[in-house]
Amino acid sequence: MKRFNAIFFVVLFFFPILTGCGEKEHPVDVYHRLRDVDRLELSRMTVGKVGMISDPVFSEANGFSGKMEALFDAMKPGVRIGVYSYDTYLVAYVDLAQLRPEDVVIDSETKTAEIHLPPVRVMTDGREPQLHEVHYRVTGMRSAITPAERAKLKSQMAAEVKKQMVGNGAATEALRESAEAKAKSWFTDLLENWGYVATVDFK
Amino acid sequence: MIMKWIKIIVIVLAAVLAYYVVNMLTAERKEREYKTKTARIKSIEQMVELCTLDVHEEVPLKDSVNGKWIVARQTIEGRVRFDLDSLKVEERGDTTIVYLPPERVDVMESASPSAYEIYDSWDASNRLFGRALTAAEENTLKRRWQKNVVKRVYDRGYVSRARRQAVESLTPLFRQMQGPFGKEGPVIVIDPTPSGTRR
Repeated sequence: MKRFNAIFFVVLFFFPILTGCGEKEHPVDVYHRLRDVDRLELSRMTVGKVGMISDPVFSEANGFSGKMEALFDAMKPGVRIGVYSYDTYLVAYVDLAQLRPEDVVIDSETKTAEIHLPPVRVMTDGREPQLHEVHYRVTGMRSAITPAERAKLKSQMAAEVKKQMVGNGAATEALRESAEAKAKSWFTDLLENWGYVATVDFK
Repeated sequence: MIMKWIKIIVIVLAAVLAYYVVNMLTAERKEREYKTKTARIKSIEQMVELCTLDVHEEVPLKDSVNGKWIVARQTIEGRVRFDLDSLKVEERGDTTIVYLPPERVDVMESASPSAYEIYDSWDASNRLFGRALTAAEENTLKRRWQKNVVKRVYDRGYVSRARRQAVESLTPLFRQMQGPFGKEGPVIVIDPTPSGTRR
């Protein structure tokens, strides 16, 4: 009976410690918790673009038909100018679903954590549907600017923005750097709150 | 002599006219290039936002304003986001409660060059001397379409789904958050408005 009591006492004494082991942070837990967040957006860039609709000018017209068109247009009295602008948005994010177990290194004894985040990616976040009319002057015998012309201008401007921003790494470098800085501070704070001194970098 | 010069002038003019006509009929019509300025970075802002839902739709549209009609196609991109920098945290006893913030539903036109195409536009109130749809009127229509997409995102339950997903993502993230009693107290993530906050 005494022996049974001793075993019972030992089990009772060590129970909180044994169950307490489950409370200990495990690298896999930290990894799963971060990975489940998926896409975290960290920085947004607004890019402005301005374009102009006007009748063709003879000196700038291309080809024979373009020159002829400009010549006929020059005979019409009046002016036809419309200046328009709109904004495009780019977002820098980390896709935490790309995180691998080996990217999270936890030292439970020293309470330190190393997180190697997936690289920051940049994506377009759409553009303003509205086209802002900065200036409009149509006089004399000139015809009003049509919605089809504005749509064509916007299409050309969008193609140029894509070429200048998305296809050009240097243009989005500032956005990427801003996102990396935000990610480092946010994840460092988060892990500090979990009780770790964290080092955060990017793969 | 004069007749000879007249013949030469007529032949030259006919040749120029023939070249112009042939050129008009056969030459590939180059898309007109408009004058544009180089794209300019206006701002870069930092944030921490959780994006749990993307919507991508191609919408045919027929609508009118001030008697002027338009038929168009628009590709839209929508996203449901949560600002993690503005989380409301409350401490009740030993429990820390994290409230899921109101969602932000962003609906934009796709940045693709072919995202907006006009098929037809006309003035139904004046068929003889039709007035063109102005940029301001077109913007009024586009704001209306944007509102309709936002309404659809709510009506189809996308926002509820996005909020559920956000709670699932954030719960493990904040479970180990240190409350007023260190790690002793539990941390729970609560969604105060599961079907969203319509504005």
